Amino acid sequence: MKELRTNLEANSDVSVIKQQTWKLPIVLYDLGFSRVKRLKMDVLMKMLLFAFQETEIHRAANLAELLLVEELFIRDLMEKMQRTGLIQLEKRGYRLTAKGFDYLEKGIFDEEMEGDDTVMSFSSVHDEYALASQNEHPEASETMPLYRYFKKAALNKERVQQLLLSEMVFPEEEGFQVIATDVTSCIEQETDFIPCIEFQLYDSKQDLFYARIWNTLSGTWDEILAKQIEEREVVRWRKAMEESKK
Amino acid sequence: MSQAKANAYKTSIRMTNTASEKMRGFGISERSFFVVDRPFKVFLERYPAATDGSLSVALIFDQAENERLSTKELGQLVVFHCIFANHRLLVTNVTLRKVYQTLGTNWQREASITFLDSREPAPVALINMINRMTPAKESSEYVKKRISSWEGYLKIQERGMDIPDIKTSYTKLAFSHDFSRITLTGCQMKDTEWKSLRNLSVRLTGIDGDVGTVIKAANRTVEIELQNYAVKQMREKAHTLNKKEVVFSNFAALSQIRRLRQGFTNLEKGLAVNPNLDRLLFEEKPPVNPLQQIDKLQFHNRLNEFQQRAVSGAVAADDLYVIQGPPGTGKTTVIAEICLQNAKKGLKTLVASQSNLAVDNALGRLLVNKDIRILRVGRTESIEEEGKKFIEENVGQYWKDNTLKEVSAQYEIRKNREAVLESELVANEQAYLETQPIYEKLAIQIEEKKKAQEQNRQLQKELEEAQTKWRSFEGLGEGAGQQKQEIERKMQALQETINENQAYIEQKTPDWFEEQQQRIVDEISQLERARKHQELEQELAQKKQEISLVFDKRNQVGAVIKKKQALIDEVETIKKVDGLNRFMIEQKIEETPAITYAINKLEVTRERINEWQKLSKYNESIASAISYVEKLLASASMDLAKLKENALASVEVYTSAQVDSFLEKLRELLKGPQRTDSAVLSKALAGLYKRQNNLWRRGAKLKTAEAYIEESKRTFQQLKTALAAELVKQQEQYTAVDRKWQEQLEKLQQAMAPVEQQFKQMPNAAYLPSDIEGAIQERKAELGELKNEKLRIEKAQGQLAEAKQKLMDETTALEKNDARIVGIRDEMARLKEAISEKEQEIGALAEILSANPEQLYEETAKKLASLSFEKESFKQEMKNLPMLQSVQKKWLDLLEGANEHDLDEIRKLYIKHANVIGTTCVASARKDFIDNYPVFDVVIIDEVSKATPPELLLPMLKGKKVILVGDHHQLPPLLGNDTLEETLEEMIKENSGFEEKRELEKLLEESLFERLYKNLPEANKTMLAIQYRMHEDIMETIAPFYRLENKQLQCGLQDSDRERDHLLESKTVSRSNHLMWLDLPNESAYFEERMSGGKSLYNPAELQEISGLLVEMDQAVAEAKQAGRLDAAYQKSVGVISFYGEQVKRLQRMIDQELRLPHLTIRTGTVDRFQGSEMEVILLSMVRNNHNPHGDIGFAKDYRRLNVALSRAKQLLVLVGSSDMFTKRAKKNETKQMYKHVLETVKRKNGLKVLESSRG
Repeated sequence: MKELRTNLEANSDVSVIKQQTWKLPIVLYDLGFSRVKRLKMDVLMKMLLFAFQETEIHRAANLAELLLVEELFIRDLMEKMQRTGLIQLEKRGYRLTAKGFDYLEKGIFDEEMEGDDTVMSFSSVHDEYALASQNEHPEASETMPLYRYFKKAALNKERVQQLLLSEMVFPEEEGFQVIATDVTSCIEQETDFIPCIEFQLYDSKQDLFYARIWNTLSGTWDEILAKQIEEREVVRWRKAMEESKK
Repeated sequence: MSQAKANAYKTSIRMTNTASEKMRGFGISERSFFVVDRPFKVFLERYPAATDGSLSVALIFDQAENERLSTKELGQLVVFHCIFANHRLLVTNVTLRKVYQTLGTNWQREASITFLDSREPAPVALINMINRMTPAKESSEYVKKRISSWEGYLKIQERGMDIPDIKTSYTKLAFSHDFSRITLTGCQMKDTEWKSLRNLSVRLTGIDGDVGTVIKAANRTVEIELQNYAVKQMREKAHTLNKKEVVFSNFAALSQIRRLRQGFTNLEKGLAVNPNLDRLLFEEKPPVNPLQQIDKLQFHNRLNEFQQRAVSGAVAADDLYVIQGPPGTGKTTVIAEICLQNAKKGLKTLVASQSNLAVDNALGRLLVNKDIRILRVGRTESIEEEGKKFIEENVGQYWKDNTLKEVSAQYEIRKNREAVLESELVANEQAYLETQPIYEKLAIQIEEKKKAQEQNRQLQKELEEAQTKWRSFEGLGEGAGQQKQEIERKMQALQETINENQAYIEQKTPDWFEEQQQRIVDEISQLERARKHQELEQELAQKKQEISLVFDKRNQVGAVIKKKQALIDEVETIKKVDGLNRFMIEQKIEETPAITYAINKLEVTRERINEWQKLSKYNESIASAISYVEKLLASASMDLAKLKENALASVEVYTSAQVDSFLEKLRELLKGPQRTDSAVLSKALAGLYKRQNNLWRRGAKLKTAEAYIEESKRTFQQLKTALAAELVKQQEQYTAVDRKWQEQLEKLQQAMAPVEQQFKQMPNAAYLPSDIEGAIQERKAELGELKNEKLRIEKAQGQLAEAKQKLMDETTALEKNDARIVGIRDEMARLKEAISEKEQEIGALAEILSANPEQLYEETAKKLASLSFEKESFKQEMKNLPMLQSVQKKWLDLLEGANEHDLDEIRKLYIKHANVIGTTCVASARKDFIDNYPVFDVVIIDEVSKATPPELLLPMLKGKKVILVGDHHQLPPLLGNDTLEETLEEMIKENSGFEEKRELEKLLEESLFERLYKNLPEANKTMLAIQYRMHEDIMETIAPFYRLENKQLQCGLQDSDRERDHLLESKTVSRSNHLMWLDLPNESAYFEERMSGGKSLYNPAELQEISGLLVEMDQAVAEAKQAGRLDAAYQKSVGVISFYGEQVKRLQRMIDQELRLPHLTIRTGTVDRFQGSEMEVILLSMVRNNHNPHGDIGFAKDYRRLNVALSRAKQLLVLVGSSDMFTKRAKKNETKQMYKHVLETVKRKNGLKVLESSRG
């Protein structure tokens, strides 16, 4: 903390007019989710295989219309599929070859995997969803005041889903990938209280008031928190100073 | 760099020794290029003529030919340097050239050449083709010369650039309050290094990429402005950096300039995609190709007429099109539409601009359309939010999002489709059921109608027949009527004839004729008798006259006879011949032979008497002469006798005249001296003897005179007797005549006697007309007339009889005709009845006939058909629905669940088929970009006027067609962070070369865009003249800047007041204000101030005013929210701008530090930085306010800067500054005028607020 302060005060024009600590609540959730093992296959390719199996397709244009996809893309892919022997043109349109069927089978077949679970953290102030860090972080003491602009907020399911999809990475095996699919459970656990150190600063040379908030969880100067405070308080600080001068 | 189809040639080729040697060195066998199985691909580049003037050319072999030419790996291109010697191609040297950017320049021609090992001359076509080329060097020189005018831009940027990287450690790194800058302390550098730090880019060990640029290096501290993209990284990592090391470098700037230079070089080398680019850029009249004919375009954005014209023109242009877009006129929409049109045509478009922001703005406004695949190329960290979704790594996601949106929209619609379809089917069925009976009924109606039509046809036929008949009877009746009239007319005429003739005949009976004739005949005979009497009378008178005539004649003859008797008596008395002659002439007595003889005899006798007398006279003369002479000679004793004898020996004849002249001569002689000459006298005496002899001989022939007198007397008596006889003879003749007359008289008297008798017997008529003959003729004529009259009467009688007959005939005819008329009338009445019957029957059919069940039937049939078609398609859809739904559901699921990896293929496809590529001008010259995208069909450059020509050149080099979009009435390019003027000021301060200053000033004046726009033909340019951004009032302030263009700037807002309502009410601003000027006094309390040691100006009074204004506005927004005019979450966007950077800095600080304005979103910036942006409200702090003698207003005098400043606001523009300063104190008159126009517009709009006293 001292180091932070020294750092800030390195500039002789800058003085700390107030320093305080408080806690920022971050809610932890136990997330349960299902997983599947799936062949790595391009989404459009998979769809095409599926479509050839399901319906009569004569021209790329039919598919372009059906799928609302650029005809160019479909033509390119169809050429590739023909070249690799996945489909062939028959009297009744394009049909899957045996190889194609086989490929499709593998492609759509999602092997159910055992479900898994993880812990998610949610900071409503930041509107931030994250997998809970395994890192140790200091615990805020009971006595610390709560962040004065804290507001609780409800979870956004989609954001949770997105988080899983992008962050839950499992090791791949032989052209197959394991994917977290649906959230099966989401149970609120304890709330972590992250201690934050707030510096209210004044740059006399530039006649500037500003705030710096050290977020101990991220180990950085928290921009969002600083902005929230500055937006609401800077004018007040100036007034207070002017009055104290009087 | 594209080339037309290669030409094919066959030519012989020879080598010099040098060339052969070089070839061997490169491992090229001479044989290798005489292999004729296929030609070589060669690029021809003409050289300037050799010293001897021969045509010089380089043959550059395509890299693919190396294999055929050489056994070695050459890795470069083989170049034959040739000249044409005696029309043969001679290789003088062989060299190698590097591959990169060598082939296919615009100064080269591609050809495929087959080489022949012969001594034939080179083909003429080849020589001609080379001859037509411009030597590459010349073309390059042309470009070099012209492009040198752009050198200035590069020189300015290159100032002080040639410094090596500076690496040093630092001890401390501090952030500025807002993390926008860092300050480094403890750097170890030389003094010279310290001085060169400014503007260098900064890298920190441990942080990726450049973190920012040095803005200040003084007092052993370095102030660095961070790049936006570096801020986050810095915040997170700066305090954890292990190695405190910094590198200052100008690498980025240098590489940028290098790229710009490369652009120049490429143009010189002829490497522009459009081979005409150099001429388009530099010729005074850009030699653009004519526009292509295109079909009317179908637009996908809503475009006004100017925008449509711009798009059509840009699509149709062949090489260059320029669009002038004043503020808010929808340039980006036009660009979006052009991109879409290009995409539909399968063309690839490059969208380039000077700044990343402009590129991202342009791309961000493109329509989401399946046909457009946008790709943003550039350094990811410098791409703005708008453009991020189009970068390579994000396009998969972007594509997924859009596809997902479209598919799910369709899927959702189709979800309800089944229910809709079912109800549609029911409705369809219902409709069919309803329609069917109508259809059948209509069929029956049609059948009935058909029958009725048949019936009608029959009836019509009959009716027509009856009518025809009726008409023919009508005709007949008319005929009969006319005939009747005719007959009656004839009868009347006949009757008249009869009457006339009758009357005529009755006038003159036969008896009358007899009477008349008798009378006339009598008259004629009487007249004839009178005529005879007259004739006799005349005859008698004539005869009497004849008798008296004869009497007279007898009396005359008797007198003559008596006279003759008297004459006879007279003759006896006449004694002389002359008397007789006279008498004969008087009495005209003809000479009878006896008389003539007597007269002649008298004459002869008288002549003899005369001769005799003459001779006797000569005889005397001569005799005297002889005697005279004889005497004379007698004295001379001459024998005279002898002489006489000799003289008389010859008889000679002399005329009387000869005798006279001889005698004359003799007399003369005897008077002269010779009278004594005996010879002469003898001769004369001889002559005299001769002549005497002659006279004697002549006298001997004559009687004596008495004999002659006697003879005369006898002859005279004879003559008298002859005369008397003659007279007696005449007397007897007259007596015979008298006897004849006596006889005639007796005869006449006898003839007269009977006539006298007859006349005496004829009585004379009592009365007689004078002209009896005329009277007789008259009577005869009368008689003839009478005869004619009689004939006429007879004829009249004939006519009368005839007429009577005819009259009788006509009467019969009339009766007959009358009967016929009656018949016709009856028939007509009958027909009339029949006709009206038919007509009634037809009338009864009319209703059925007039009905039109066919159309209805057809419609119904169609409706039924369409209903069943609809039903079929519904059924088909119904059938397909589950399939479609399941396929799309599947597709949706797949898409939703797709992660990065699943989209990899799509991403590749998308990049492969990307057709709208966006990047900055300079980035378009990066090597990787050139390699990936060497050529674009169309290059669109946005905000052209903000880029320098060297920057513009880079994307232009890549396009077949170039479209420039900009506005030369807005600000010119920035150089780094500075305007050109600032740079200029700084250069003056730094005392850099005068040359450079001049160059810079020149550049300030020239704008490539402006020049092109002004010089291009109408077809190749458009001004977008309708703006949609500003309230009309605001627009009025900038209108003068566009007054000189063809089109006036117009406002496209239907109702400015409604569409640009700021909804605010405050002390200063009312709802109706859209344009305001907060006028500060031109007094020292409000003057500008200069930063101590700085160059930039600021104005504290204006800061104060703006502060108050912002607070007021924030309040007004809050009130508007309370009043429900604005949404509670709404924040009014306000731009606070100024001509001066220092003022902007202070404004920003004030807003951050001193004001709390929760209802406003405020952005600050210099006017220059704000170009391209728009805000609802703009506050312009004008700063300049002073009493300087030259009235300098600095940057504010540039009309382009004022134009930008005025045209940023949509709803409300407030100028804050001293109007006196700008409209009265400004140095130049045109500047004053410019601001006066603004002030007057403000006044007209009731927007002027004069500040009376400063706010506390």
